[in-house]
Amino acid sequence: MTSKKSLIKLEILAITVVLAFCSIVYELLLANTLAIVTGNYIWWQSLTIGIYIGGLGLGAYFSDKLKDTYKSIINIEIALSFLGVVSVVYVYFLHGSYKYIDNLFYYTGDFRSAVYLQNLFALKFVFFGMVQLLTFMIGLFSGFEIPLMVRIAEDRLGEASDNEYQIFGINYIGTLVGTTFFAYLLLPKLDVIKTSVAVAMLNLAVCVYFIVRYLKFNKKRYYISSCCVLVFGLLIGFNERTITQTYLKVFYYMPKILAQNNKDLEDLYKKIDRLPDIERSKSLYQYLDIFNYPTIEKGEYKDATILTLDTNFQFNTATEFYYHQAFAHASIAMNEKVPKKVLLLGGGDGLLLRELLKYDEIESIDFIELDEKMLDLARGRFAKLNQNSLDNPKVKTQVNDGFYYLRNTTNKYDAIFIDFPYPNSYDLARLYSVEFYKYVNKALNPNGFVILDAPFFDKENELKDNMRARLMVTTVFNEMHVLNNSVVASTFYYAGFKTIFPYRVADESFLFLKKEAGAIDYNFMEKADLSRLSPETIAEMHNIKNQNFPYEIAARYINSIFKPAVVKKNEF
Amino acid sequence: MDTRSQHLLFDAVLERDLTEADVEYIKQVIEKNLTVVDRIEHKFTPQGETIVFILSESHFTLHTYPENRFISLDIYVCNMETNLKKIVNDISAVVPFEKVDQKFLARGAIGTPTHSQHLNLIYLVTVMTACCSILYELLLAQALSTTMGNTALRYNTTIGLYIAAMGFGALLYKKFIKRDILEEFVKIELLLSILGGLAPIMALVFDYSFNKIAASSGVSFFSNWIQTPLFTMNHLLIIGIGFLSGLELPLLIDMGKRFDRKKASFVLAYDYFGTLIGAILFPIVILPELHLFTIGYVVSALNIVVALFVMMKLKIENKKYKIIIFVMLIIWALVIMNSSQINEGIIQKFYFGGQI
Repeated sequence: MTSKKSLIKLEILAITVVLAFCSIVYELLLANTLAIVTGNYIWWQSLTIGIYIGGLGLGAYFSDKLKDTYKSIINIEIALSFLGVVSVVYVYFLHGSYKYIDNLFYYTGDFRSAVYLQNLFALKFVFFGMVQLLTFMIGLFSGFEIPLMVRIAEDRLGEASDNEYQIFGINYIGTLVGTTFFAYLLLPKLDVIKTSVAVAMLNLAVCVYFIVRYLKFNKKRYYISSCCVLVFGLLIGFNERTITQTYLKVFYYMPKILAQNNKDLEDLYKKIDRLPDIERSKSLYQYLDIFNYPTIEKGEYKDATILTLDTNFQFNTATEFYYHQAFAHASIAMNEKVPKKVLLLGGGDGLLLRELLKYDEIESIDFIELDEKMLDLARGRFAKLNQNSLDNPKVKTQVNDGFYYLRNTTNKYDAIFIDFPYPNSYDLARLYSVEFYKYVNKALNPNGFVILDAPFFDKENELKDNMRARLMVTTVFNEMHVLNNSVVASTFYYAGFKTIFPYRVADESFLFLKKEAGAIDYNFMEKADLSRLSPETIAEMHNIKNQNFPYEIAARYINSIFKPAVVKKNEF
Repeated sequence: MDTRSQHLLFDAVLERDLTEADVEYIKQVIEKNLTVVDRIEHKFTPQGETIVFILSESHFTLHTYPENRFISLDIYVCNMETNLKKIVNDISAVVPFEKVDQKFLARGAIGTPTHSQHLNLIYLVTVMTACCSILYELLLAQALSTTMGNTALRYNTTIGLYIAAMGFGALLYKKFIKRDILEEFVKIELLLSILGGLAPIMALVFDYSFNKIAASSGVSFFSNWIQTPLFTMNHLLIIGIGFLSGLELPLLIDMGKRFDRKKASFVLAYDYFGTLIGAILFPIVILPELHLFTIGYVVSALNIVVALFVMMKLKIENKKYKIIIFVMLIIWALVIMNSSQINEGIIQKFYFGGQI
């Protein structure tokens, strides 16, 4: 008798663990997918967990309205496995549609309407509501689970007072297992669609077990619904690649192609399934997407490849030379002296390294890159492009977090080149914080300089930048350009850089920093040796003197890791 | 004096004949679960028995009719906490019943004014404390992502550990909470506000101390010798806050049960709503407006105010706690007023290690 009862108890507890596991994994999948597609991590993580828990609360509150315990739990499990199967696909679909509608006006090149739509709250609100409706439903149904399991335990075991506590406890343990499993096993190689389907199938298995074991009659109806969910799940599981590719193609090609306004390209990309696939890989830190993006320059068709990290543009092989030349050579020209000891943070693609190695005067380059996968790409796929710069004996490569490196190093450098992604998440905004630049300042010789590529906007190009903002430049600081500039400039100023010289070459903005004030001779172009630059870059660089970047320096703008600068609001 | 009571009227027919052992067993169950102060037992001839116990909780009576295999049992207790169902359960574990007729009556309500406003108070307190708890955790997740990096991993593990630790708190509640639940609640709130309010700073202090240890011992900061204890201590912070929050919820449910046994389960739902409010306020309103440490001070002060509010409303007389509350409130007020200098000092000392 007692052994039978303890078996039943074990069974109930085991089911509770599995259900709690499934439910929290759905929540985490949704929160993380949303965080990645929208690029605003903290906002989406917090809101999603909040709405999920709110749903749990309402479920627990209304669970006594469910009359038939066994039928209710079977219905709920069928619904939950269905929601689990569709969860990620639904987010992809909504975000793809959102991006598509959001980009409609780029068809006509009507940038004012496009910017209007970009800032239209209603569109964002609909997206938000529809996405979070799913989170809420998952929370609500999961909220029914515990009270129902308690009822089942009471029904099968009688009213022992410790059932309730044990079910609560084991439910929390399932949640812990789910989170740990997710954070340490899934997050590094997040195959979101397959995971969602696999977990939903586990959930469905529990549901079928319930039907077989507890349901006396009317089984057929439930078997049919379960089969439907199973077939649906398998369909999605096997078409995972097509779904992801379609979403990525809409995401990457649509806005860019539409912005081109070029008949040939429009024809070429008219059909989404004729577009080349996007190669997506996941490292410990980010998604790396590589895709072909042919351009037509002066009537000439050019093959080119784009690399993005977490969907943010890094470089285009056809145009990267502007950027890396302006980065390396313009800054050295401004400094009027070639540095001997150089630190390079980021820039794992090795392209900036290629430009730096053109100076024989540079004696050593300490190269710190966080992501090993980027180094693999630089040594493999992009080795020809960067002329095997990573294998040069002057270069000492280290896989490390730039922030940690600077905090713990005692080395001093003549020049520090910082090639980080733009601060479009809280995580990346740390690399634009006053704390980080205080450490940069510490590692810099008194006469040395710092050059970085940062989001900095000038007056003439405001509209163009607004368009670019959706294509490649986003920051968490603010969508208002003056504010964004003020945050960046004030942060550097308070980190001890009194010379802040922004310049813009080929639509990329750079900031040249020195410790003492007034350290720039504005006629550097005439004095410098420009033999290492291509004529196109030199032509672009002649504009530098006429550029006007509005900003204000004040303590209230400082971006600190302990008080992040203004969060960009409503940005999906 | 609270006059609200529970009255159980229990009639049952046994499956088999009633024995002496059955009656003895029933008496034992009563002695185990309730406090007997006096007893009268009378045996009728040829058979049948009446037993009356005077309980410190009120009274218990038992009438037996062996010829009918019938017993009639009354338990009257003048509180709302005793679980009468459990007593019935215990009896039926040994004495097999064929037919049962039981009525649970709620009595004495007219002797005590209604407590609905007290129940509303409990709901309000639940929302506030749940909101504070989730805010502590989110703050800590943010602080840990500044010292340990990788925001995504920090948020995921923090939330998972928080929920699990809450579960253990709820599971071990009976072991930890033995005395007066109202005073225990105030104590837990005070502990939670100290731990939660200082957690972001403690994360920084841990980071600083282990950097120092690494520098002085020559071991690399990134080696497992340094990273493992640092990781453990950081996560113990999360678990501590979660555990205390986990004790908080059953306490609130038990407090609710004092006022209304049935509606107390709604406390769980209000707890979820408080969490929802905290989780939504954090990214939208709180984080962009205040310094990370200042958020900690403010939330902690809020938590203490809630504890004080409960003490005043429910007339908890405990001088020691009142003094601690006032001292802490004064300290927090001073700290919040001078927060920019204090935060700057802490960052200089523990983040930059006095190097810059």
